[in-house]
Amino acid sequence: MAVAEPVAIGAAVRPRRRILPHTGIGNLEKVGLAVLAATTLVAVAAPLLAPHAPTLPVAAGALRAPSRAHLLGTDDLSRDVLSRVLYGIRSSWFSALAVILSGIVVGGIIGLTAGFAGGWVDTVLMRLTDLFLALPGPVLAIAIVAALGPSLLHVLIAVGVVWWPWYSRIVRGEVRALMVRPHIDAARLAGTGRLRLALRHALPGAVPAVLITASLDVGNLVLTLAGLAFIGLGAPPPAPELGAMVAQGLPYLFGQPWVSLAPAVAIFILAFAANLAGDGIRDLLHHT
Amino acid sequence: MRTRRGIRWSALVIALGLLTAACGGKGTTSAGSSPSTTLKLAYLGDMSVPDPDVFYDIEGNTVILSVYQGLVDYAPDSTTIEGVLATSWTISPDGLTYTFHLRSGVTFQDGTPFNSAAVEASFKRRTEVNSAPAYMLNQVAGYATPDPMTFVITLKTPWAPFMDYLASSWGPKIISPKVLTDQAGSDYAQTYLKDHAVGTGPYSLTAFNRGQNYVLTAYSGYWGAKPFFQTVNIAIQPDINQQILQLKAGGLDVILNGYPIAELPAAQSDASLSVQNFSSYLQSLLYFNVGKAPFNNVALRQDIAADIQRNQIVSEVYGSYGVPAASPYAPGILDQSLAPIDYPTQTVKAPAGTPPIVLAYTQDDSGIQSRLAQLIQQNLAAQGFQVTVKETTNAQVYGYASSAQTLAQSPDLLLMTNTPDAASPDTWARILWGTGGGLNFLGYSNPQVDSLLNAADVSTDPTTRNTDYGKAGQLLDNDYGILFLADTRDVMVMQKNLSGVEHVPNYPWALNLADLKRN
Amino acid sequence: MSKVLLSRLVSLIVILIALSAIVFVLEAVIPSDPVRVMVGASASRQAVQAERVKLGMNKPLPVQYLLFVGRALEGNLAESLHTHRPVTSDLAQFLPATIELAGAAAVLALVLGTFLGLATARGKGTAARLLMLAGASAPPFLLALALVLAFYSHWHLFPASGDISANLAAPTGPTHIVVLDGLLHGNLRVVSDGLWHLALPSICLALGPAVAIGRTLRSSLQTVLAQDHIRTARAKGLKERTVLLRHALRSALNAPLTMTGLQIGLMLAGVVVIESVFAWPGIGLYTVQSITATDFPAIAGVTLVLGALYVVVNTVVDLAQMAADPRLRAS
Repeated sequence: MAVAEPVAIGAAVRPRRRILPHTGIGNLEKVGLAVLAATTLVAVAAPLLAPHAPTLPVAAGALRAPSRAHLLGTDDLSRDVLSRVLYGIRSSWFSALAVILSGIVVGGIIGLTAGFAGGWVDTVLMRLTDLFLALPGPVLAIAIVAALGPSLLHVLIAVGVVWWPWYSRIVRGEVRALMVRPHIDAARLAGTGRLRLALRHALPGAVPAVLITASLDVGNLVLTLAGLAFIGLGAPPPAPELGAMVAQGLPYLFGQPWVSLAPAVAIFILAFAANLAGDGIRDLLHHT
Repeated sequence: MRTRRGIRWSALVIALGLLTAACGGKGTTSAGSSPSTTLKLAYLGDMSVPDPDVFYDIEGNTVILSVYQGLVDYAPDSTTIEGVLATSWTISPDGLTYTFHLRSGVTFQDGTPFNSAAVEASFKRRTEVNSAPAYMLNQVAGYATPDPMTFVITLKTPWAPFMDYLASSWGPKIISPKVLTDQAGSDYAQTYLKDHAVGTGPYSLTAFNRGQNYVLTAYSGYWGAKPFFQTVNIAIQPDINQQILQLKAGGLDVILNGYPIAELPAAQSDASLSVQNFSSYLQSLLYFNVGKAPFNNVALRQDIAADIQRNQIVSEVYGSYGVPAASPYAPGILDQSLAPIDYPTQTVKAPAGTPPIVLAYTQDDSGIQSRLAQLIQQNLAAQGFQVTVKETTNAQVYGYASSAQTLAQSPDLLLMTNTPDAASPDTWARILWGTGGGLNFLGYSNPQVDSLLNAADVSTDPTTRNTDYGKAGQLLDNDYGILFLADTRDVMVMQKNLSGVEHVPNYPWALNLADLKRN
Repeated sequence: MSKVLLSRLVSLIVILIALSAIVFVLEAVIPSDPVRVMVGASASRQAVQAERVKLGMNKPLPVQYLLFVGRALEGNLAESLHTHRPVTSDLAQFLPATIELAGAAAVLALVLGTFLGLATARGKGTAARLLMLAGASAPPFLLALALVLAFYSHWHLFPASGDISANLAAPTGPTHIVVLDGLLHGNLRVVSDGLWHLALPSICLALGPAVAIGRTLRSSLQTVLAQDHIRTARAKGLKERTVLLRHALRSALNAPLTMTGLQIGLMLAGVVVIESVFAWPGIGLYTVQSITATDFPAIAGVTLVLGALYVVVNTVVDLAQMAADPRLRAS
């Protein structure tokens, strides 16, 4: 993996080794991508990796300190914290992906239509997007979940409603930029249908920008969902939700800190890896 | 635009600001050096209102009991009734006339003199306001004030629990008649008394800042022994961890309730703290919504009783500070063998087609209620029940039984911790499982219970009375109308340098602030 | 310029209308019946019905919406189901504390963010970048607990709850903001005590935004520093620091300013968590209590007020940006 760097004649300092050079991403970002990949693996494989069921009590009892049998101890309902954290990562990860995907789909359709159709359709759709962009996202998300009632679905809907405008703006911007490119003109002159133009030419061009935004967004989204769960707006108990687990472990913070700390650190690692990887993806796509 | 100098200046300003803050803070009140005649307490949440004819929660007891007084109260650590604003009293042989000789030389905190007219005005107001504790005066036929220092109550029928009602922390308290007249408005001064209080007690309510703090100041004209603590500050601090931190740092003097049981061993080994536990009548209860499916079926209720691992849950959550309830009546209220609890222990699977169940529990920042609810959920899920837990508030709970429609929309199970209003079995049975009782939140009703209670209350023979109370309890047990989970102790953690600690089992989460001292 | 101003104001009004419409729709959607809770547990059915008529709930939805907006503009935002006071008086009581906290945090975030951006702009600065990334990824409750454990429990340096010490009385002055009122009344003790209480929560609240602003400033600066006019400045022989501060910074301010506006919005979400951990008597604490109590009138009121505040602040930031950078006015 490591490529031997040529030592410059007379140089007193050896250049730093770079993992997988020539890709234009720093070492740190690669670490981030690796952690992110690992996290995705954990999220997908949680049911296989978790030593116990996340909602069932274990024989060891409640609030036991971390031990060989229970690497992260047990919580106040005698549940294995490690298993709950693994399932929690799975839940957070998939929730974040769901919101981003829905944002991309909804925002993408709107942005594509606006960028492509132009004229009054564009104006109306962009005004709508601007409107949603201007609304106070987090505050509105709280209000929506409070109105509908706490459940995972409602949280995803609430956050999704305030998240899509970014993607709409980006896709529309990319599409408009692409529209003025010569090869689009040529295709249009050749008689290519509008839909075909949109799907085969404009859309692929917008992908890099969308990917960059999405990858930078994941970290933010994980924190937002965790914050909402912390104040009680998330999947109701006994669901393993990282933010809710932190809140529930607070009364035991001094005697049994692992109950709150483990999920809090898990959120941190998830967000950190996502942010690092997001930087990496952005660097990568900027270099291509 | 920002220049180098600009950055230097801003750095200086920030440093200065932080320095001021840190020093300024130290100068005013750093964590440990408060004036020692100020008692610092904290509540996990606001009390409803400091109006003694409306107040029916538990956490505000210290405020009510420090500012207001009734004719009588309970002596510390007992169920013995002693005189407060009444120095002595006689009950006629037929049990219908109660004559109280009032204490002289008493004034209200606004200077108004205390006399029998004031007592009558307060008693009448309780009936007029007609809120939760008004039931205590339902048997009153009339009042008389033959002279300023004598107050007479005439009842419609002899009523055994009547003196206990008067001693209850939710019993009739005497409010300044001047306030009742001047601030009457159209609601008997309820608006004014939403955030003011004027009584005859050792402390005045000098500040009532909802969400922030309440301040009690020693009343200079108090008729009794002057308290050691001149000021009592009760902060609203919903985070029990913050309360614990403050207690350890000296910023709080007592944690009155909600100390996580799991943290008590650490508190016990802390040299500056003292962990005390007192007998109480607090019980953890699980109500059934018997009016609608699926719990309109007594067999299913019995199954739930069997499926909940009561012993295990109680020992896990309460440790050595709670025991599985042996009777619907807490120890000290009634001989528990007169209504013993005997829930089945053989677990039963959920019958096919049982609809999902909603289990509501009142919020509790010490985590106990939520933990209990989730443990119950765990137990029932293990037998195939689908249970959703949902947090609710006191305000919502009071609305559940207001009509048939609301009951139909209310949760199937309700988990709460409650306590009898007074040390008489009547004050528990009547309000908890008597028809229309103030704590009968899911509308349980059994006419046999009601007639047993009525018979017992007018009886003059203690033995038959107690047997009847016992039977009322047995009826509830056999019907599985309410499950009694635990009898719990009242646990408080305080600074070791406090003495004069007095607690009454019937006044949970409260201490006699006037007798408290700091060494 | 005034044309731009006018169009921005029109946008503002449209957004506020949309916000109120959304809140109204949400209120119509909630499953429980608030009227019953409002009127009281023992009220008769006629009383409940009468209250419904009084509130106009028997009229068609669009009419109800107009009534709702009319009441809101009058400052009448219905009564909280929990405190039984008008939501507007609850908000009036709790809002100043949040403004104090958010204001302090915003200032801190801007200053800190600028420092971070400037300090890490040149060179790789891997450690600084990592630290900033970590700061941006930390959930606010983790940070709050860590700070409380360190600075309150362990070192007894700062208090961990409330906005003023229990034995001091905040002046009931004009703004109801502890520090400001203290200044206006010349009460230095109150000022210093207020700042002391403000320290931990505002740092917690400011850290995430500070890092975000710093990162944006950093990348913006890096772009600008690579441009021609910077090369020219360097070629002229100017010191690197002068180049950075006097030439690069001005052009690089655009993106960070937008980010600041965005972060203030996200800060409103952070406020809810921070206020509940520190028992700061502000809107966040009020919101969390209202959520538990399913007190939707209160939540609706908070959404409207905070939402309007957010939109106004963003418009102001936008206008300020346009005033500073003529290139933006074209759009």
